[in-house]
Amino acid sequence: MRHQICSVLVAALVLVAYESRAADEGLTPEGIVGTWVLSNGSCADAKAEFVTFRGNGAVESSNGGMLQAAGFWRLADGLIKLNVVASPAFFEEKLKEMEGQFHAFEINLTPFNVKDTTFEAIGVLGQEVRRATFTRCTG
Amino acid sequence: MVNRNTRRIFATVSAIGLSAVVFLGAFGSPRTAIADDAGAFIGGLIGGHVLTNFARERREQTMAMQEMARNRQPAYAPAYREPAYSAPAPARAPTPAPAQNSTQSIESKLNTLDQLAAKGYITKEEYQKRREAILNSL
Repeated sequence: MRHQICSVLVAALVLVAYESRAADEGLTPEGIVGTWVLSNGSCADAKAEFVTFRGNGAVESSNGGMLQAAGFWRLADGLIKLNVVASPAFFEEKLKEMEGQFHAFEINLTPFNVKDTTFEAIGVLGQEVRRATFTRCTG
Repeated sequence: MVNRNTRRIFATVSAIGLSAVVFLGAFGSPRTAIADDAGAFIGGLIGGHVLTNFARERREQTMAMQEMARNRQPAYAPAYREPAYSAPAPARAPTPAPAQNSTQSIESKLNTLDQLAAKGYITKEEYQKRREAILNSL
């Protein structure tokens, strides 16, 4: 009986280690390139939130059918670093007075739970922290 | 016998514990500290970040302006300065009493002189001499 328990425990530990390794190695620059729909949105829904990572290092973010942020992306130390330009007026009613002003932002995404066509990420910008699920639309 | 029973109990408890762990791992809902999966992701990050900084900058700006207003005198108002040293005011010479009417004064002197003579404080000669002097001052 003790042997059986030990076997089950070892198998569980191996499985956990395999899962962790798979998550760590899941994202490569080539694997990121493509268009992803965010947070349970549908690829067919043009008004969903999309992020497109291009092979030349450009990145675009659109929501509601409107381009909202554009810039560059790179994968470094397991983080997806985005340097984008956007107008804050796009995102908050209270910031409408900033219409026409564009500012640069550096967003760090920490990917986890990486699978073939999805991954989750924690985004950090200053003190703002958000979580999203990325689902691949095109590769 | 005791050892076998102990082993059975240990094995049963271990199996139950392991089953619970596996069950929770497979079906338990993961609790994330950041459950902000809905809504705009990039927009939420940028909007929230700017809004936080915007509000903070506004607050700091308002405080700075209030501070400036407190420390600054309006251009049209003369600045009030506390004197570094206030010297004591020089003692003023007593203001001379307004000159009395000379006639009244002479009358008063003559009355005084009469009283002195009536009470015998001065002689008749002294009285005459003084009376002449007072009258000569007219």
